[in-house]
Amino acid sequence: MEVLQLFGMALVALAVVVVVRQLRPDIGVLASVAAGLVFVAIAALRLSYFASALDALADSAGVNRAHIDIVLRVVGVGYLASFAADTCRDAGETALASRVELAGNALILGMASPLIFGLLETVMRVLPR
Amino acid sequence: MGLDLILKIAGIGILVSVLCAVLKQQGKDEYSLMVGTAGLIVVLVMLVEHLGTLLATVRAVFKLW
Repeated sequence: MEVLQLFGMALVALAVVVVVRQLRPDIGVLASVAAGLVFVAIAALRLSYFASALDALADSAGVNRAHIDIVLRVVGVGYLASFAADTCRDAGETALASRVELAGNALILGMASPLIFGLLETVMRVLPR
Repeated sequence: MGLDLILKIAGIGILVSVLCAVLKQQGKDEYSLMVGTAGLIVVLVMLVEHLGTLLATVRAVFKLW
């Protein structure tokens, strides 16, 4: 019953963060970051099983490893960028949060461009001129 | 890892706020400010350690760099 554990942890973290934020807003922001950290760590641990399974699947299917690596990397960057942006938003810096998201999107676009260009090249090869 | 990090931060926050209130009551505003800053820095250092762990985990899982 890991879900129940997660549920209880979320409620305790919520209570703690709300109390601390009322007493001291600056430490409250850090407490909310710490709470987010705990849950993201749990998620990352679970995702690592999935990532290794995906690797094994790609190996057995004969898919190019570089492509799977790019996909995994994009997921990681999106994850970290959204964590940073949500932290900024929690601290009341909405504008900074949207800038961080924009930067994350730009990074992801840059990392995914080999895949996009590869797809476009394939399409152009298939299409009659 | 677990809830102990959050509870630790909450304890520091409550302690610092009580200390600040007491110091302010005694009319020592500058000490109250210093205690507040010190508490913030302590929490920040604790958090940075765990953030480093998180970054290492994410790097290992998603093969980032």
